[in-house]
Amino acid sequence: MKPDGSELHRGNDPTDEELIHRFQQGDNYAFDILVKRYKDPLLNFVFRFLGDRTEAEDIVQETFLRLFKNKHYYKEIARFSTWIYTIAGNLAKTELRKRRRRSFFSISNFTGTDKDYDIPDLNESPEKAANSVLTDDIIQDAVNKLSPKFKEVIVLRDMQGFSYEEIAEIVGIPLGTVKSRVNRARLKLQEDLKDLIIDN
Amino acid sequence: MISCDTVKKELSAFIEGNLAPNDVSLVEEHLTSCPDCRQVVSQVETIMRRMQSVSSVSPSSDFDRQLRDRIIHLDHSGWSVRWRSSWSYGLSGAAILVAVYMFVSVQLTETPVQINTSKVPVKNVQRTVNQTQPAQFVKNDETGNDKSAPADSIKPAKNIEERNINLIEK
Ligand SMILES: [Zn+2]
Repeated sequence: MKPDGSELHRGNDPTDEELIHRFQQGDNYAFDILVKRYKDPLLNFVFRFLGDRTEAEDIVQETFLRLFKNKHYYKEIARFSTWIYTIAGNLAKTELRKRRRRSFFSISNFTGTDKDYDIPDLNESPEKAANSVLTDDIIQDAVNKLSPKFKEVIVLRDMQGFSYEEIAEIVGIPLGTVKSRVNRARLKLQEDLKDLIIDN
Repeated sequence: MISCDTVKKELSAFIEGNLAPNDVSLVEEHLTSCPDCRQVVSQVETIMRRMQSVSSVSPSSDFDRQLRDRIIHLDHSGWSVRWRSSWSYGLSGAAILVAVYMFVSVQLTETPVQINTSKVPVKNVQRTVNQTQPAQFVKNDETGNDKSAPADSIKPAKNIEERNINLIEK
């Protein structure tokens, strides 16, 4: 899901860094291309992080607004992808904090996801059930239960496919911390989901 | 033999092949004799595979239009002069409409005042106009979603703006 516009030239397509440079020079069409390139991966990142589609979409829009307003804050020392993910991640974390404050006042509004779960068919063969029982919703619900610091790194690593080095850049923490957080997040997920997984 | 805790600590490095050969042997040795850790490794691998294959979501069909509206709104609240100059056609259209709108309201509101305060210099009257009129726009900008009269009066120009901005749709 992670975008591949960074560094590598994709055919004759300009790199992200070329595009942001052009945008900084006043070429607004370059902004359009960056939006087109990043809206899907950013939406999926924020959606998996927050567990809410509508909020995620709003935050991705806000991310692009920040890009539009603050384009000159981007400096070539960073990769564009990590820069824009940092903005989106920070906005998502702020949203989580706001949500926690709201839930303090109305607990009834915050009982996990309010989606219906796909109920696995119990008549299926055990092997098939092992694969189908971990539905997207169940995975998402387990991710939702992680604390933000674990959630962010695990979404970036296991859902978006970023390298540990890239995650360190995005989140702004040391490489060793990223690795240990990812490892602990995986163990927490396993602890949460272990009864649902049928081993072959 | 290494402990279960050590195995768990090195779990991701082991699964992802980032462990030194010596350490790999130690973990493997532990796993042959510890069914609990074997299960943890296998389940973490299953979860990692599932995480990679969760279905992705797409932005709503309204996404581009909403973003464009928010950027236009941004500009109306005084941001980004560069952007204004590069798409000046649409915005100057909007500016003309705003000016017309203001002129009409000024005519409506100021006519009686001018009759009553004939001694007040014209300059002062104009300053009052400038103070009261833009205040309405500021209010609209702050609320962010107010689609009341002044914003609607700009609408015809919006189409021109949309053509000029061409956000993403190409
Ligand atoms: Zn063990």
